[in-house]
Amino acid sequence: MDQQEDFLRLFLTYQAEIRAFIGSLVRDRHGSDDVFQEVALVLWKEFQRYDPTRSFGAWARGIAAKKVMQRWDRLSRMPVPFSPEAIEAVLEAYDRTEAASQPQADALAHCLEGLPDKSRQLLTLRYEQSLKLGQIAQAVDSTLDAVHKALSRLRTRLHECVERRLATNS
Amino acid sequence: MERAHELIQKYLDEIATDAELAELERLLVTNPDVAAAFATVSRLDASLAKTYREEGDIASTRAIFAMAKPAHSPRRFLRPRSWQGLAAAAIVLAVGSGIYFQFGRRGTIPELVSGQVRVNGVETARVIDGATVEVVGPQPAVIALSDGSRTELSPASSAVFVGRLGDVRQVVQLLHGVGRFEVQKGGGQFRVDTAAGTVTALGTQFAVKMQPFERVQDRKLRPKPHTIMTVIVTEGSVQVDSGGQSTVLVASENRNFTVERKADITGTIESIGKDVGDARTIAIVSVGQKQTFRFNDETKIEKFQGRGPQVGQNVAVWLDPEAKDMAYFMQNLTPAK
Repeated sequence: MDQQEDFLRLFLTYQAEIRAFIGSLVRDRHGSDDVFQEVALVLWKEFQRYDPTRSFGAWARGIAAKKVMQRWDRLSRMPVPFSPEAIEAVLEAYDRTEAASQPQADALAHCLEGLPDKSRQLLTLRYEQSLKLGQIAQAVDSTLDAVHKALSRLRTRLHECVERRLATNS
Repeated sequence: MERAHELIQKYLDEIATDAELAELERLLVTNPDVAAAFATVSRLDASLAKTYREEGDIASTRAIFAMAKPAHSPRRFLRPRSWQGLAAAAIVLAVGSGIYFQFGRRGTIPELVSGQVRVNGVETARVIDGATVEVVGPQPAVIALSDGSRTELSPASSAVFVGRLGDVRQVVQLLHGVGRFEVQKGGGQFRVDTAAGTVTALGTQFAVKMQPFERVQDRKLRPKPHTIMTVIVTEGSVQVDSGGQSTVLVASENRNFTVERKADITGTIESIGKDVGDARTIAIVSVGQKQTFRFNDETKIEKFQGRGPQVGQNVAVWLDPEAKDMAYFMQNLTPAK
């Protein structure tokens, strides 16, 4: 298997994790996409230096953390609200809790199927259309606080459902 | 931990206050359990985003794979040349927002000689044929083309290097900004396509200047976005095709070519969001599909009679070429009552 194939195999395996880590620190969707693409290019360019005895995900997140910090330094308007110390703490937490993403994605898909239409509508507005909470509140004729509480409950419920399903399958 | 969860959820929903963000940051640094909870919940948040935005992620990943392809073709521009050294024609273009023309033929390998560019949104030193190249940073970008010609794109300009297309040896689509083209003599036509027409080098030296997104009154004296291309011939002659007419200009001649820009979106306003930052989001339903974009005080708004856009109105929207989710110009198409 050549170097490019090795890279693509690892990259495809871990891209969801890398996206999640960047997205946790850069909440603006376009900014997060920009960082992700920059990180992907660095990973490709630096792939020869990757130590295969280490986790590819940890290596990639380390580079992503540096990119996020660099952007924060370069463009102070970048929406990265946390200090480098907090970014490091999140990086370590991601390394400690790394899990295979595909089983989680499958479990999440199953859990989403069980949601009522109203809940799915909220998730569509928030995650597909990337609407802010105020806009969602207007769209569903509710208040910002009520929408936030509903989304928080939904995420908690989905997280519990995913955990249960993963535990059952294992 | 309950407070930490509350803060994490607020952070994810982008409604945490500065004080709450500072509190969450402190907890992340001092309490590994909070950081772990943050990782777990933000992973779920990302999985939800991925589930609902799969298409965008695939497109983005495709662009990255295109970048990751190993270089496989020989470099054709090994010897640096000076601008003056080429027996060439020079074209200068300044273009406003343009249309991305689709071409099937791909075959050139443009090379970045100097400056910084972004290709398909990613900063790189490698220019990909057929991809959108945007100049970033304060310096112009010089790009060598496969036929020996060179292009200098000014800061904030963007173009697509199409390469050979049929009988035309070199086609460049100038999407936005200013470009200087030093055209190698002989070997077929060198053509620059823009939103306002095409300029074909006839083996001479000339300049073209385009003014982007100008507001020009139409026949009913309504101001609408137009693209204006000014062609200035300094030596020899050029052929300009614009608005269905073909014109040959010779040395010392210059002329403006004005083309009305079609609206990017027309449809019915379904909803208007509240102020978020300096802009509001507006959702328009057009042929059964909903599209959203933002507008702010800088958006030119015509025929809304001081009330601004309202839900239910039919509107036409021209998007900002540099920020596609932002309206540059909006016109009310609903007949006055």
